[in-house]
Amino acid sequence: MTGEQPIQSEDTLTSLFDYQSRTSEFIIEASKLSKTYQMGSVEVHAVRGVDLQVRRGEFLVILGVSGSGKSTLLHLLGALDQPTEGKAYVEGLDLSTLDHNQLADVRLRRVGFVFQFFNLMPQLTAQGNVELPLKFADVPAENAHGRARELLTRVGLGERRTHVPSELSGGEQQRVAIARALANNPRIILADEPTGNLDTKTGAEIIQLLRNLNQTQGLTFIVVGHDRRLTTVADRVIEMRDGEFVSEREGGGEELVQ
Amino acid sequence: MKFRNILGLSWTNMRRRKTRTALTTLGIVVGIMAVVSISALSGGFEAQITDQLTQGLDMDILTVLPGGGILGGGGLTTLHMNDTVVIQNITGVEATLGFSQSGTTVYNETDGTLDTRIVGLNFTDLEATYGHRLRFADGGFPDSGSNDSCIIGYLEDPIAAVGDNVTTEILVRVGFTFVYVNVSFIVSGVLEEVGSSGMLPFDRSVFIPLDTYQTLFNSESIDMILARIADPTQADAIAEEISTAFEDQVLVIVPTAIINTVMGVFDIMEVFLLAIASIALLVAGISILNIMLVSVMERTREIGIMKALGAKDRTILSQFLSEAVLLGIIGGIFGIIIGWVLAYGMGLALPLLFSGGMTGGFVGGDGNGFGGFGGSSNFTLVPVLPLETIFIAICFAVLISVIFAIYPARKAAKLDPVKALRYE
Ligand SMILES: Nc1ncnc2c1ncn2[C@@H]1O[C@H](COP(=O)(O)OP(=O)(O)O)[C@@H](O)[C@H]1O
Ligand SMILES: [Mg+2]
Repeated sequence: MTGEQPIQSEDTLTSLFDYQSRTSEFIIEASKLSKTYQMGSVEVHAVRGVDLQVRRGEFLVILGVSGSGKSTLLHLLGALDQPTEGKAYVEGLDLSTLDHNQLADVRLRRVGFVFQFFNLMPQLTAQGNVELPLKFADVPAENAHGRARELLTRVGLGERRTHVPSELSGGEQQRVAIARALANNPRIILADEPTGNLDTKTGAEIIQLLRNLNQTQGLTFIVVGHDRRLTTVADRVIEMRDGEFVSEREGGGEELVQ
Repeated sequence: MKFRNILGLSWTNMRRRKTRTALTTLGIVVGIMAVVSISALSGGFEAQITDQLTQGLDMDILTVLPGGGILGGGGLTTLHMNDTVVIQNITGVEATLGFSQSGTTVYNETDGTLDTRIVGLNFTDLEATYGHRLRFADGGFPDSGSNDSCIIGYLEDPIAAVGDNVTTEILVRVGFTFVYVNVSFIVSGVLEEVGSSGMLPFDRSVFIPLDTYQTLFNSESIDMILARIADPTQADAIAEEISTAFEDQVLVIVPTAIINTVMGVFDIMEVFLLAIASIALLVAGISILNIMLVSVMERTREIGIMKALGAKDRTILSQFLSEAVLLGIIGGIFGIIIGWVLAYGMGLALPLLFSGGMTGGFVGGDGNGFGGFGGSSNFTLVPVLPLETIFIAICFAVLISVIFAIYPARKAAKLDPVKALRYE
């Protein structure tokens, strides 16, 4: 843990978290979590009855082929989507008890998302992209600027701050996305196939960057994907198939050797 | 999210799509341009005409004509000098002036001829009614009792000086035939320029004693009676009283009524034109609605990203609404600028186009009559655009674009983030 100053202004959930989060030793939990999509007359069970407990500072990797329900699970855990059944807890807080705005606050301050296709705002520079969640959180402009600068330096992009996404390589864009996910100092990062759109070498760099953040900042990671190299750095690896967890084992817990 | 940040992001978005932004505002620009140029032009026109009418019409002079009703169907066919007494006796009437006039040619042996009108009136009445407004360039009113003296109105090239003899040729009925008779007058005074002055034009006229006029033209009647009233705000009431005194057999013209009638026509025109402009703005609003819906669809993924990053629904909503506000302001400003330039250009062009027709044509057009656009020369139309109109135009532009952006903005705010993120 570094002694980072809390930079967010006012968090409407603070009191709720303070009250509830001490009741759980797991930073993320899920019980009988299910998500069913109705496709006309067909029911698609994207996630079926998943139970999960993630420790603080854990680097969890969930592997599975395309369509196995990884993204859906990640969305449910990150308060982006609501389950059809079961419950998800973030820092001890039952997401099903939160209203729309409170869920937005969970995404704003408690979890950071990293996506396969980077999902940067195309019209904003790297700096602007990292500042965006800070602006959502009403962080004063100077603080936001300094914070974004610092984060971009931390992911190795100090020099390319003023470039828009189209002027950046895939690896660089993913670094911006990671910096952005860290903006409001969340303790949890949810990464959806972060290397899925990168070449081997760049993918390895990104995996190592995530692992470093996990090691140095004590951030909790849930990374989903099918990149086998993820298992090397993971503390724990869960295999997912057809919306269910089919196996669980310890990961390598090592640094990635290139 | 702070409003300043929302605006900043909107501005970035709009700059990214300059062409689209320009096209979106185009409707607003055109609509506001129409509203501004119409109201500036008609404002200028109205100011111009009010100005000319108030100059041309003496606000404290009522005109009494024979004949009741609008066009004198029935009613008295003639007025006589003793009718002035009836009017004079009405409270609020300060002085009366009965006169007759006809067109004629006046010439002076040395200085040439002048096509003019000859006016018969009592000089004492003239002095009582218009005395405070008339200035003699030379000479003065004739001695009372003198029946062969005249006063000449202002002329650019005077044809006679005080003491000169002027001759006028008058067509007179003798029995069953008409003959031309030459009558001479001694000039007792020459007036300074009066400019336009209602029913009785002074400049270019020759004034002779009423008795002489009536003898010459073998007539006992007078054309009309002018009554000067003490308080112009009482004009309507006094006009009513005069009318009643003559059993509604006369027509009383109130100057303010003329102005009101003309202004009324302008108001109707303005309402009509503004209605057209409003339709333009409505169309502008619908095009904003349309383009914004497309924009929301195109930016679905961005909206999903923003939501994944923790943006609240109201942040997305205000994002789109603030873009609409900016569109409205930009459109409004350009509309006002272009509208003003247009109005200014038309203000210069219109008088040139109409210079022939307008000057003579408006209100009876008798060269000098009724102040009819000051004798053709300097009719200019300066558009009038009060700050208030500018403010209202901008507000209107913003209002229209915001109203039509509400639906797309709500649609954007309500997007499901997961679906939005999966959107290709
Ligand atoms: N909005 C949706 N409507 C219907 N089916 C969906 C929807 N989203 C995902 N699915 C289905 O749910 C399953 C899991 O999808 P997803 O979570 O994206 O898997 P993964 O990320 O492992 O590829 C897939 O079969 C997918 O087709
Ligand atoms: Mg996926």
